[in-house]
Amino acid sequence: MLVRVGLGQSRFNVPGLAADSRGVALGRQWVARFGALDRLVSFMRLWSAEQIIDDVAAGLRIVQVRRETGAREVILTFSVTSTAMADAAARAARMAGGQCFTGSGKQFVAYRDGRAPLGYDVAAIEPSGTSDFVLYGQDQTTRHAHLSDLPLDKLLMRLDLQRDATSAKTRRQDIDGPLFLRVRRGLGPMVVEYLNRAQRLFPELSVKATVCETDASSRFEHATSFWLFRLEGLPPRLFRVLSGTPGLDLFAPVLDHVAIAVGYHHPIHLSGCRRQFPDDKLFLFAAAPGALTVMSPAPVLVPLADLVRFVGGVNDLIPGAQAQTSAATSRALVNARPAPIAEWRVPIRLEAAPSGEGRAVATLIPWRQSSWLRSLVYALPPTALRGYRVGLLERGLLILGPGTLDGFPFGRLFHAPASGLLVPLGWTVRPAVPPELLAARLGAADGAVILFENADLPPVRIAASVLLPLEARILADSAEPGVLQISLATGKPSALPHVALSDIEIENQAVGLMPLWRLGR
Amino acid sequence: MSRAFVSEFLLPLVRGGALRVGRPLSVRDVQSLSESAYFATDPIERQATTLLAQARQNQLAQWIATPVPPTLDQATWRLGAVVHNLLAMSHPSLAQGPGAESRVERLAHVTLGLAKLGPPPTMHDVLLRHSVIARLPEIIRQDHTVRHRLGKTTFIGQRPPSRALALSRLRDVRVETTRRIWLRDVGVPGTARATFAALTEASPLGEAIDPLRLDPPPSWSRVLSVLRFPHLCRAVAGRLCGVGVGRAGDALTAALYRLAALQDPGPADAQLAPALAYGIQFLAHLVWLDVMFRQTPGRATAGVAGDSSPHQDNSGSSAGRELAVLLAAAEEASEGLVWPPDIDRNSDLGQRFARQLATRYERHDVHQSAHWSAARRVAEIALGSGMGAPNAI
Repeated sequence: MLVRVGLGQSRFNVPGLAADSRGVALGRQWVARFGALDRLVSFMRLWSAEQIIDDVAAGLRIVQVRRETGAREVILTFSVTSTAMADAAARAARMAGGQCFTGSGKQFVAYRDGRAPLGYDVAAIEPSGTSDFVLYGQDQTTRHAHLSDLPLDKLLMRLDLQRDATSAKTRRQDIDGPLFLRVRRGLGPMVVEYLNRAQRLFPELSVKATVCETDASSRFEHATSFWLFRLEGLPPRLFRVLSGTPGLDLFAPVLDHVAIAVGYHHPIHLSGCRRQFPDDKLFLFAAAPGALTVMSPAPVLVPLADLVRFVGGVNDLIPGAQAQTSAATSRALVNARPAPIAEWRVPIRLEAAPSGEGRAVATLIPWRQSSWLRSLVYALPPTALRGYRVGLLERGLLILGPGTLDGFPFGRLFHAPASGLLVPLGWTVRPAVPPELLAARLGAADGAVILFENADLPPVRIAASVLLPLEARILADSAEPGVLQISLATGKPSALPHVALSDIEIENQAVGLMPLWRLGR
Repeated sequence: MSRAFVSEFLLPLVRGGALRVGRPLSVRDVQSLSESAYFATDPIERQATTLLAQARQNQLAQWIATPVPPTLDQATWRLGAVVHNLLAMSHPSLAQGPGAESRVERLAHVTLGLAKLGPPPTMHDVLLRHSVIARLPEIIRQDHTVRHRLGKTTFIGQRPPSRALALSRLRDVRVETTRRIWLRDVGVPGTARATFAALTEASPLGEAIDPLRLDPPPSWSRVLSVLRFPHLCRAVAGRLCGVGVGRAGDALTAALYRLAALQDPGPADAQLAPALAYGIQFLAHLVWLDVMFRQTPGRATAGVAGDSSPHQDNSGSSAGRELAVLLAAAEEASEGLVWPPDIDRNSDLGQRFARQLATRYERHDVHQSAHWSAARRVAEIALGSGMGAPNAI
């Protein structure tokens, strides 16, 4: 039976109960009892808004108990140091439908309320017997037996996210700080290209990325892998694209190493639960039920530019594979580890330049126009003949000037974004890696030239030995069509030009609509 | 009609390269092309015309010593258009889908009108026309099948567009390429057989040097329009020796039977006997060449299979049987069909030739051949022409 604590009362029947400076009876521990787990979660949400959980986490304990009547309930206890702390917890617990007690050991009496501002005491202590908790309530005294402990970190990680009421209207401005982007493995290269282009357009955007692999949590599941990006300074337009694209999951960090899917929130305010999430791991709470991804250790993200790999047998720029770690798994938790980035490739390709850039330094003349070049050679000055270099390629004649190429009104013109790198005029290389770096990686050294002819053809490397000064090429033996071949044995010019024959291959072209229209006329 | 037909089709047809097949050409289109060629201002077309002339000149150089660059005459345009339309008959836009048969049939009908140039009147015409379509059997087509997770798409004679190859890793794109020789593996549709026959009739030199072709089989009515020119007749005989006297002789002997049986719409009845006699003498001439120019002593009598080309007639012992049967029948009917009048049978060459024939007859047991009676009948018809002495070759 409860009795109200009187003003100035200093002796209590409940063990461990003592009066504070204001005369409020308070035990060493504070207890809240809830009829179901969801009420405990509601309490935690309310309480975590006011109380930093980390401050009480040391003595915090969540226990599943069975009442003497057989009902299962949940009891939360923590070490209380002040009535202010206990009052805040009591307020939240009562709002969540719970009952509050204080005391120590196994004996707990109801915490103070409006009817007993200084708290309660009991008239007589009842033996606890085999019970672990004896709770003296307003109406009855209940006994509870311990069933199991529920660690706080497990509780935090098993809770499903809740959709924000304004998730459909989530705007970039509402989210501060960087974002994490999880991308399915197959979409990774495209997203990398997209973000690379975006980095050019939005200088404030900084992207880092890595590849992670998940361990199978059971024999019935497969290990998966995904791309993880860290986006800083993400502009609102990209935010809308990334948050609305299937296969892409955007996460907003609530802690440095804990992020929650954009448009959702955790039932408990995690900002006060930092200790429950070790710093050496990265936690991603996804929208799907139970879809928490824990990366242990936290992946090392590298700048996006360092991840570009050039196609065409050129060494990649990828740093060494990152360390792999393993982590324990559970059904609800999917642990992930950083994966080696060995097979990731981003093809270098040509795209139309947004603005005209560069000056023509070379031209590629198709073989069918070689006679034009032959006619033009007679009009070129000696400096041009000496300075221009020409290479006889399968695709045509490549004329390379020492600087700006003048006097060639035909052929396909190229500019040089970097020394030894030839790109068609009006086009540019994407991803926008530094041209000098690209040229070096593609092997444009020692006078060699890398030629990007068009978007459909892979680049070719032209060795320096192929490029001869124009004057030397004119005087060299030539087997070009139309060149008179001199027979040294007889001294007589051969009557026929040399014609190189090649395979005849059908190339079907579009015949248009009604291809037989007016055919019989 | 603004169409770069020379640079995109005629030049690759002769010199090689991408043979661009597009919308079929009508008679009117060909006339327009030939007329506009004289006023062509496109530098690429003009350059292509020059290169085409050089390439055809090189073709001619294989037959005559001093060729001159040919011009783009009407026959050239029409032959090119015929080949283009024949290739278009296997174009997926025409040969597939609803109504494909009627489209091909209509195209074949129009192309037949273009192809009916008739036999070339002069040796120069034979060579000029041949220089256009000489490399017809070399035309290839590459079909690309793009397989991905959701199925496959086949691009016939076309490179897969970039959209078909996009996201290759995500879609697990694989490309399989099949290389086909057009004439042998794709061929001409059945409804266009007459068109192809007309093309062969207009330019028969290719058929004359390729008697092993299965379809359409060699026809003496067409081949004779080439062999009637002595210079070309010698050149063709030399080419056939390269093919193999036995194999080429068998094919031409079978064609001679078809000519005698009037299965081959050849010359008029009055000309049939001289044509048969000419054919027999030509076949005997092949054996003469084999004997005369196979210089290795001792081998002249050793094998008969006799057929000189090292890489020919190795297909089996039956090679040369039909030729031996016909020559034996002709020799029995009249030695003048086989023996030239200026050859002494007692001379060394005569004795070598006689041994060659005897070996052939014995090897193939000609009198027991099922075609012996037919060969005798052909020889008798040929003897009726009065051509006892081969002086045309």
